[in-house]
Amino acid sequence: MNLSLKDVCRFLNAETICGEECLDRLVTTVYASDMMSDVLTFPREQSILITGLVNQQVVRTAEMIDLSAIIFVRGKRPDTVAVELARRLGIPLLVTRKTMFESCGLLYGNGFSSVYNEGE
Amino acid sequence: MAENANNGQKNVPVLKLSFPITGKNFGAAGEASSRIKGTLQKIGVAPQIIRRVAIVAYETEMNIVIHADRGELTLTVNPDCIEIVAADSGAGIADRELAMQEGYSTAPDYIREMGFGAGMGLPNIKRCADKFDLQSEPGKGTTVYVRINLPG
Repeated sequence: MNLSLKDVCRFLNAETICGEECLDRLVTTVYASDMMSDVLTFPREQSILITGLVNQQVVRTAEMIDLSAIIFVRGKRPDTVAVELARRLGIPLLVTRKTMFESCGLLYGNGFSSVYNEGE
Repeated sequence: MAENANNGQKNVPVLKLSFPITGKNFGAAGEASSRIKGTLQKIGVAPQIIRRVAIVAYETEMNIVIHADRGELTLTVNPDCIEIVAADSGAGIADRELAMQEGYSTAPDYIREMGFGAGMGLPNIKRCADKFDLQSEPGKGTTVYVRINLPG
């Protein structure tokens, strides 16, 4: 089953802040965290990050491990510096009003995988 | 003979870049790592290698920004490996073993609120390295050395 950012938007009723042209990107794995060094522990292809952290270092973290997109939860929006950085780097930013718990549950239940499995 | 003429020069660096890092400057934090990543992409380094270098560069750059007043991040691309050296004149690391423990962090609360201080920085750096060395002296500073081998 090939899932894309479009599907993520649909499941989370998410709005695009920037990167509308990238919504066909395929997505396989999801990371949910507010701690950036935890995110850097498991770099994976075709991965997205769900977070409540809205500073520009989230965008830098995404840049370092080539994340396909960042989804901000609970309607939180990054500042203009972060958005401009994401635009420049080609990293789509999405926002959902859902909580992190619900967002994770919806994506997990609809076929997205974790970035790592226990015991790896 | 060509071999003798080249004696001790087998590993001449292809490229060397140095970036000064200013402590507590969170607006600029990550720029040096971004430039390192962009440079490696331009010269055609394999994506998996670039990712490891990027993680090392970013984690060491953030460590300098978070824990020191100033430091320097240096990238050296050799024919057979990439080296990253991150040196600062910060407070140094009092307990090295503790610093390498996953989850342990000395970052203050305001840093944790920014999403750092997970205590995964040094473990992440070591995991990405083929060779890792940490030198530190309390009161003097810290130097992290990483080598990542290039395939072939």
